[in-house]
Parts: sequence; C-alpha cells; structure tokens
Amino acid sequence: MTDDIFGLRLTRDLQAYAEGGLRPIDVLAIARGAIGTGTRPRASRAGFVLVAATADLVAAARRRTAASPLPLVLVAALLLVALIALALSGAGGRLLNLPTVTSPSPAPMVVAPTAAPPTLAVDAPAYEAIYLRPVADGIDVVAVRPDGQERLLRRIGTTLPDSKFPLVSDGSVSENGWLAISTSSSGQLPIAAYGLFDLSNPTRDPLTVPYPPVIGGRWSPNGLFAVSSARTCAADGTCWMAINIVDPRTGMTIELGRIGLFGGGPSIVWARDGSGILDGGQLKPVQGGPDVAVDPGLLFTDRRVGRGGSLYILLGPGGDCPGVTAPTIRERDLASDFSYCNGTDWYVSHDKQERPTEVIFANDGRSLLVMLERVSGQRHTAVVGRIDSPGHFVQLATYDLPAGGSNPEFSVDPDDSAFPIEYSTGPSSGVTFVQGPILHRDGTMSAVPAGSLAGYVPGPLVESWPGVGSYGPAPVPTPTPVPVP
Amino acid sequence: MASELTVGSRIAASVVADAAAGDATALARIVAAHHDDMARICFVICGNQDQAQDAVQAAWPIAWRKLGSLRDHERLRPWLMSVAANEARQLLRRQRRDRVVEIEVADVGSYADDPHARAGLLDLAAALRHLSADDRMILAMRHVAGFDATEIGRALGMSPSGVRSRLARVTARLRSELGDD
Repeated sequence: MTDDIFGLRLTRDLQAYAEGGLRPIDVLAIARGAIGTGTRPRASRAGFVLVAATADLVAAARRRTAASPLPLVLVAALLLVALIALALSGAGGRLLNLPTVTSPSPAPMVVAPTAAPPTLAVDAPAYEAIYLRPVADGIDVVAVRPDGQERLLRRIGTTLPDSKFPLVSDGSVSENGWLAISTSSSGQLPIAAYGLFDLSNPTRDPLTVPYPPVIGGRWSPNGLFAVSSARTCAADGTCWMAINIVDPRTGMTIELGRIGLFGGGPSIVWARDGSGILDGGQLKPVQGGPDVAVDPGLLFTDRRVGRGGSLYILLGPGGDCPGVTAPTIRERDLASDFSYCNGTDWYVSHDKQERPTEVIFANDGRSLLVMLERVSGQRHTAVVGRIDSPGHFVQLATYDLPAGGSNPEFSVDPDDSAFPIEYSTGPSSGVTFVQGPILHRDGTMSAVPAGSLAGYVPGPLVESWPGVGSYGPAPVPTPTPVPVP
Repeated sequence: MASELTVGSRIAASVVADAAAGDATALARIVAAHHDDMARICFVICGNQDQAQDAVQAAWPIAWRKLGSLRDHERLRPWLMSVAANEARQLLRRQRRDRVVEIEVADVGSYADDPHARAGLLDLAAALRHLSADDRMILAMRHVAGFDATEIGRALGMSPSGVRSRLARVTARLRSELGDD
C-alpha cells in the first residue's frame, strides 16, 4: 500500500476533501424512507410525510407476509389510495411543513414555542436582547432587559459535540429562541459548522449544520435557518449559490436551488412572513416552485430592504449619478436595479458640516432611520433621526463623539427605540471600530452590555424559559491589572 | 486535517436483525452511525455534494432490502460502504447514458479559509476529475474508508493483488498530476 509521504498526504487531503459530501440529515426519515417501499426521502419530497408515516405499517405487514400475504396487499392498496388523494389535494408540491407565521405585520411577532406552551409573563418587556459572552470554559448566553437587568440562559461549551474546532462567541438568535453559533475552522478544515442551540431548553443537545464559511446563516421569522451551500460556477463563468433551509426542531433540511442573493455582500434576506428569500429582484418561495414577484406589501427581515423590496442609496456630489450637488438619500425600487440613479430623494443635506453615514428602514418598511455625522465648532456629533416622508427629518437622539471618533454607524432594536452605535477611531490607514453607548428614542443613553449582541427575542417568551439564573444587575467587570513599570 | 471516520462505531447484531425485520428505529441507528462515511466516499467518487447525497439516499433502500443476507454483522461497515460506492458509480453511469450534462464542480475553494489548503484541495479535485469513477472508488475505499486491499477486493470483486497494482497505478498518476514527482 502507499505508505510513503505522498500516500500519507493523499490520505489527509482526500479525507479533508471528502468532508464536502456531508449535509445534515434526519436519520429516522431516511430509515423510514428506506423501509417504506424503497422511497428516497430527499428525492420524493411529494408525499414523503405520508410514506414515512406508513412505513411502519408496511414493515409490520412485511414481517407478517410469511403467514399471510393479504395484509401487505391491503396496506399497498391503502397507500396507493392515500397517495392519489394527496396528489389530488395539491399537497405534493410542498417541500416542508413550515411553522405558521402568525403575523406578517411589523408588530412584534408571536411565535410558536419550541417546547411545552410556556406561561408568558404579562409584565415582561416587548423584547429582550440576547448577548454572548466568552468565559473561561465556554460562552455564556445572557438575556438583557431594556432596564439592564439580566440573567444567564445557558452556558455553551467551547466546541460542538464531535468537533474539535472552537465555537466563536458571535452568533444570531431567532425570534423563537434558537441560537446559531459558528465554529472557527482556522483554515484546517474545508467546512465550518453552525451549532443550533435551543435557548428554551438548556439541556437539549445542539444540532450541527455544516456550511462553507462564505455567507453567514440567517434566521427566518418562523425559526428556519438558511445557510449557504457551496458556490457553483458554470463553464461560462456565471456562478450562483444554493441555500439549505434547516428546521432545527426536526433536523429536516431542504435545498433551494440556484439563487442570486441580495447585495454585494451577498446576504440571505428573508421575507418577514417567512415565505421565501430574495432571489435577484424576485422572491424564491421556501415551499418550492418558480420565483414570484415581490408583493408591494411584503416586508423583509433585513433593514436594508423596505416594504415591497424598496431600497435606498447614499449619493454624493461628483459620483456616478448626474445632478447630485449635496449628500443625498435616494429611495429606489428593487426592480430598477439597473436604473441605478432613478428614484425619490428623501433627504438632501445642504449643510456642508453634515453628512449621512448610514440609513436603514424603520420597522414599518417605509420610513427611514438615518445616522448623520455633524461638525459644529468643536462639537463632533452623531445624530439619529427618522424620515417618515421625503424631506421630513425628525431628530431622535444625539451623541458627542470623543476626540478622534468619526464615521458613526448604528443598529436598532425591533421597536425602533434603542440604537447601539459604533464609530471609528485612528488614522485612515489603521481604523478601528469602537462600540459606543446605546442611544434611546426618549433621549436617554445607556451603556452597552458586555459581549456581542446576537439579536432580540420577545420578552414574554424569554421570561418563560427556565434559564440558569434569575434577573439581576449586570456583573461589574473585573478591572484589568495595570502592570507596574 | 479532516475529522476521522467513525471506524469504531459498532452496531450490535440484534440491532442489525431488528433493522432487517423492518424496525425503523434500529435502522435509524445504523443510518446515524454510517451515513456520513458513506456520503464522504460518494463525494470522492461523484465530486458533487448533491450527487453524493443522492447516491447515499439511493443506497439505503438497497442496503435495507439486502440486510437480511448479511451473515457477519461485523462486516456491516465495509458492506455499507461498498453498497454506497457502487450506487455512486451507477449514478454516474446512468447520467452518462441519459446524457444528463452535469457541470462537475467540486467547489472546495469556497470552503477553505487557508489559501494553501484551498489551493491544494482544488488541485486534488481537478486531478480526481481526470480519473475514472472506478479509480476514484478505489481511492475512496483506501484513503477515506481506510480499507485494506482484501476488503476493497471483496467489495469490488477483485483480487487483493489486483487492487494493490491498480492502486499503485492510480497513485502514481495522481502524484504526477499533482506535481509531486
């Protein structure tokens, strides 16, 4: 056998290469599919649930066949009738039984709980932030109320089961309380993995989802996790992505085929009703079938995309669009991607000491939330404002940037009421981003909790979870010892 | 370095017997223990994740139907690997016969963080595409499944010496393709 150095290297490289064949699976579905008349679960999407449910019946009949062949005939007949009924009902076109989305509106979404129906706390805040904090033996997942009170929900280890690669303390949380954290492959493995953790059940094992670390996974509002599979390129040089959709509650995975993702990033952008993912200027339905036009009333989970797929663009004088004489925020239509400069101007800054640095859509998908950077004398200010119609800017909160701070950016909570900000410092050759405070719509300001923000979950749901501890003030950070010269 | 294959996963004879009798839970235990290894082997043969998964999915009903004929449950793993590998080879043959034009893209590059690892895996993927499906099958059985010449020969209907000489030829060709002379 090849036991020389090349042979050893070949073994190592072939094993690394072979990891590309893996995909999350539902072992019971495969077993039932195999037993149930040789049906293939993945290929036989239509009627698979029925086949799986009847597989045990078929198997039982098979065991009895030696005694009497009649039961198998009966079961086969029943199965045939049921499949015909299924086909007539049109259910055969469904790829996945999606969790029901209760509200397509921008109001806080009520999601189905993942375990037994919890007793929801009536006095809980509308949303609580979920933060991830690295600790000595893993990562703490912490729920933080708007008033700063917090509690530990779950402590996660340093790696996933069956993996030696470390989890990174950076992740995203779904609105129904599943947390996705990726591993760092450190260049040693061709595949990274996401661990999906159920925050409502601290003892439940995570689900591992492999993915090529190119595009970050995104949660749908109804708790499905979309993650990219390998990029595929045709002979003519055109490339595209496929997207895998994972339901962490069942482990079931389907693949959406060829898809053109949004933005230069690119990003997976879910419709707020969970019906599909932006595919170019259209929507790829998660239930399968051809792309459909984006409904004018449809909202999206990514605040860069507004109602019906509207977009905005920041323009400046001397840029690609003629006639622009001042920093301008222009709205444009998703379908008009190639008529880049056409659209409605929502804000034009005629003050030479001011410029917009960031824009996102408000949670109604229509209004804009804007970050302006202003210089007035010695004051250098970050300003958060809202624009409900073209030209009508309303200031919500301000923050005096420290010396050397510039280019402020912001994010927002689901209520459009809290704005964590960041800004850059240092020379242009070595810019570093610094986390600033959280600005509130009522003009107040609060400190950012320690750790990284994973997202927001409805407060009544968070407070129904068992967690590990009870609510209390944030721990005071241990001061770093100052070295004595 | 890739994670090691689950060589040590032993399935009790009673579980195999239950699965053969139609116990879905028992078969699910076997699927859980061996599906990923089968997918790895199929991926080396097919060079495409979708095809690899299709091949493994197709292999399970076949494996279940023939499970009762498996006399030595200790041979379950090599037997399952050979069923999956054969199914992958058949799938490629069917596609050629049906004139399905598949763009062979083993896009390992998008997986790797390390540029060196990425370049190395891309070179390997390109070199594998120049081999026949049977040659890729032998490579996968040896280097990914870790079988010896006797086990490979039993799976492919070849003598151990025939396996050894063919493996040597394929390895020499890969060494040449990968510029390791």
